[in-house]
Amino acid sequence: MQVTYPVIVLAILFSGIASGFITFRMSGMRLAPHFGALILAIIVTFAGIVTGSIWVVYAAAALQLIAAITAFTQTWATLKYNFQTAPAYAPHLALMAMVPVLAIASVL
Amino acid sequence: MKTVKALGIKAPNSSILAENIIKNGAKGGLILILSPGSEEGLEQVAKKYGFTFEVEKGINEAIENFEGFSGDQTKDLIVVVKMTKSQVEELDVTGETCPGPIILVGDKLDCMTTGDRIKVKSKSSEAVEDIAISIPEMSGKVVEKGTDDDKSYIVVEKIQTPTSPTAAVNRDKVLVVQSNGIGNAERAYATFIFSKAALSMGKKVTVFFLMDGVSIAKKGNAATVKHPSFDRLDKVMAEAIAAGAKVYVCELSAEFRGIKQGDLVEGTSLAGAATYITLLSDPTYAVVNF
Repeated sequence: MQVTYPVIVLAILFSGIASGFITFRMSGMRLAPHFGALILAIIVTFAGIVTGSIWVVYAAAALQLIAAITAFTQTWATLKYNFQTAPAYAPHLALMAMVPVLAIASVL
Repeated sequence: MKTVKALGIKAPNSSILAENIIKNGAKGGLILILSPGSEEGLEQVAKKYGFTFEVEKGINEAIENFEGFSGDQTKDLIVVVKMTKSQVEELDVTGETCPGPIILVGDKLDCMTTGDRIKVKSKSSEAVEDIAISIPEMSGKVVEKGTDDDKSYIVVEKIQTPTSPTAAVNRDKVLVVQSNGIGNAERAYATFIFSKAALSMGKKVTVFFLMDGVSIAKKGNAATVKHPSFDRLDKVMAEAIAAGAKVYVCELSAEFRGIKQGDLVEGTSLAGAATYITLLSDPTYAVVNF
């Protein structure tokens, strides 16, 4: 198993922690489900790289997809109605938008 | 138009009589047949109810057919007072988006002279309410409100521009302007927590949602905002409204986001730029921005 894609995803997820923390403080507990999924994805992605197990990598990819989806579902109302404050969410959402592509690439 | 023969009645009783007749259904106008001298003071009554005032001495067509007229009165013993509804110009602002209606009304008022009246109507009751709130700031006063078919209307009378108040004003009202919406939980909470604090201090509170702020008033949105230390935002907002906070939502910002009156939570209503400017211009308001 090659580890390039899981490592890139791991780096993006770590970056997501930084941008997400700022977002989290702005939006309140609404983003809690997303951050739960994000932290789990980091742990399982790291485990996949260390163990090299394809099943762990599959589990990590699934969690990465969930983390990306919840980032958008939990901020949907803000994105739809807040034109002035939504840009503050952009860095985190941009990072999360990269995750699904790399998640699929890591299991192919 | 009602015709009433009241010979022998003296002023000011004639004014009291006229006022009672108008109040009891002579909204379209009134013809009074009086003895000379009794017309004194009736001009003020006519002005009060927006009627034109006309006095004629002697018998004319208006009373010849009146059944109470006996014909034995001589020409110089009769005074005919006509109080007819003045022709009020109408201004329909239906379809105009904020701040169009208030600009149209403002332009119209500028061209009017003191005492002139104009009927402003629109299918949007919010637009009419917005104008009604702002009229005192525009040298006008609302003399009548109502609905015609499916349109709301107000009748506005041009008044003399009031001189600027020089006396100290009591700032006993708070205007909380919220322009960040659900995208910034802290500012959203602060809006209602400060409002509740002001209300508990006996202040009158008005909240104005502007730009992103309107997202809070959209049904279901406030329920998505929660901080561990506070109740959910929709509950805090409902408490502030129940405690007496008046909440306006900027019509323009709502339009930008596709939000209609029906999408708003209970206790909030759309208001135009005129309402916002009127509130800001009121020296009795202290303004807080979130």
